[in-house]
Order: sequence, then structure tokens, then C-alpha cells
Amino acid sequence: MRRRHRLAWIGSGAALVLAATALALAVGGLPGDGGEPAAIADRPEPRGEACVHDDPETMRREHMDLLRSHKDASVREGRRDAERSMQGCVECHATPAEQQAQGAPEMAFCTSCHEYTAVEMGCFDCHSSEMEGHDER
Amino acid sequence: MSDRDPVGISRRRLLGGAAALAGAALTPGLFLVQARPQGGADAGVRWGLLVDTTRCREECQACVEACREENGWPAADNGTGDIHWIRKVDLQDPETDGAGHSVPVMCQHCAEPPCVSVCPTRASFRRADGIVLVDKHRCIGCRYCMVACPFHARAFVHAPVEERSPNHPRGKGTVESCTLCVHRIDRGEAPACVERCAEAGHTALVFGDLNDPDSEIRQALREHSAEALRPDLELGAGVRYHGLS
Repeated sequence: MRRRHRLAWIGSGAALVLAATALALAVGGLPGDGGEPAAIADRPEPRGEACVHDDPETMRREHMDLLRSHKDASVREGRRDAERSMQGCVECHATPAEQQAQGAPEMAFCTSCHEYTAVEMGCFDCHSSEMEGHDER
Repeated sequence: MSDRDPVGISRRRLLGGAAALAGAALTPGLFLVQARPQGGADAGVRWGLLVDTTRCREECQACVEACREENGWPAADNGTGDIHWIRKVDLQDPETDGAGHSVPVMCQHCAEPPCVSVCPTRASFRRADGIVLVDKHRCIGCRYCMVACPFHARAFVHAPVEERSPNHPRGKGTVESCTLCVHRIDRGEAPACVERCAEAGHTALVFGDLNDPDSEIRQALREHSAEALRPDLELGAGVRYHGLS
């Protein structure tokens, strides 16, 4: 008798979870089928035809490792590459002046995703995000 | 494994084949570490600086101002701490009571730098061409290097950085010092202080490759006697001073 009670409880719990999932899917849609979230879609368009590093998908996934690797090569070994430097990123990805005038942050291309994913980005606490007068850092 | 192995493949051949396959698979990855055309810091070069103290004027601060403008560090201020990548120091021998010298003192870019020896994270390092730097992504701000440096050449960033120079990223919680304008050297230019000193008409600073017998600095060193600060420490400084003694 007690065993039957327990089964009933488990059954009703499972039904509740299923119902909640179905409701969430009905409201929010399947993950990945609705395109990119609004915050990411709003990011400023980069200049140039393609990223000098790699294709956008690889960059989205691995940019932090590529940046670190380039930092080691340029700072510790003196192997510099202006296009792949932090200033090279700024050249293409800094928010255009007219959008900045409308209140968009200087590096909205980065911050739009970083804020959405709640990953703190400290690059421009130290690195300059100005586009003029740069060298190869 | 016997010679009559039904599969007809020996252990040695199998391993050999596997090694060849692994090699072929790794080969494309080798391009990831291929040296770029720039080649990086040249281990055959030893960058150095000669300070002619007989030409350095006591009231002149041109080198200090040039460094500040180039690398974006603030003037001495009680609120921001004392940042000094380069500073003018008045030296006088207390025993002889003779005429003093006014000399710029910055990181001496030692061949055997104490700051590198004491750094627990290898943030302080010596580049192949002799320039001593701080890798700020590794610096934890412990300031051991500041204690170890006999020349008081390093400074700690206490406050958030307001003005960021594109030439040199600076960040709160890290140690910094003269980089010998490494970004300019990698472009083939002389450090900002050397350039400004020449513009000011003093030419008290000579920059060049200490390993190259034909370089300007080697020629100047042949003509003048020059010594390191605190030669007793035998640190092999890259910065030499003429006219101190």
C-alpha cells in the first residue's frame, strides 16, 4: 500500500515537470531556433570583409585563447603583428562615431555579448580603445 | 608475436605506422607556431643606453616628459602614488664634496636582473635582446621586484588608470618600469627619451646595440669611459654612465 502511494507521488511529480517543460517550450520556443538573442543582434557591424584571425564562429569560441597567445608572442618574444594586436581588434570593432554619439559604448561589439553572457571583460581597463595614434600593442 | 602471425603485421611495424600517422596528423599544427616574418626579439642584439652626464643639464626634464607622454604615466601626485619610469637624480660624492651630477635613472636593463630572479610568477622577464619587462597579464602585484631592484626603478599602479596610452597598457595592481620603449624599438626607432634629448640639443643619451662594434653606442663607449650604477653588484647593466667618476 505504501509502495503504491510512493509510485503515485513520483508519477505526479514527473507529470508536473513534463507540463512545465512543455509550457516553457511553448512560450520561449526551442533553444537555437529563434536566431540570435536581441543583445547579440544589436552589436555594431565590424569593418572589413573578414576577421584576420579566423572565421567568426571560431573567433566567437576561441578569441580569448588567440588573444592570450598573441600577447605571449608579442610581449615575451617580440613577435608583433599589427593586424592581430589588440589595437587591430579596435580598428575593426570599435563602435562608429555616429553610433557612439547616440550613446552606444566604445566597444559595444564586445560588450553586447559579454553583458549578455555575464562574462566580465577587463581588456579596456588597461588597453586603450581609441582608434587613433596606436602602434602594435 | 610469432613470425606466423595470422594478421601478418609485427608489433614494430604497427608502432612505426602509428607514429607516422601521428606525425602526419600533427604536421598542419606546426604552422600555428611558425615564426612570423618579423622574427621577434633578436638574441644576437643587446640593446643599451649610454648617458653622458657631462652633457645632461640639471634643470632639464625633457627625457622625463618625453617618457610620460609616450607611455602615458602620470606626473608625481600624492593621490596617485609616485610613478617614475625615469627620474632625474642629483648625485654627489659625499667624501670629495665635489661638483654633483644630474642624471636620469631608469630601469638599467640588467643582464642578471634581480627583479626577474625574485618574481614568483615569471611576470618579470628578460627578452632575448636584453630588455627587462613586466608581463602585466602575469603580474600579481606582490612588489617583490620593487624591493629587489637596487635602482628604485619600478613603480606600482595604486589607482585605476584614467588615461590609457595605446603605446603601453597600464593597469591598477601591476608593477611597471621603463621598457626602453620596446614598442618603438620593434618598429626600428630609438626610445622617446633619446629622441627628445637630441631635440633639446643636449644629446646626452646614446642608444644602440652593445653587441655591434660599429654601432653609435659602441663607438661612443670606445671614446669615453663609462660605468654602470652600483658596479659592485655586477648586474651587467645595459645602461652606462659617462663622467660619474
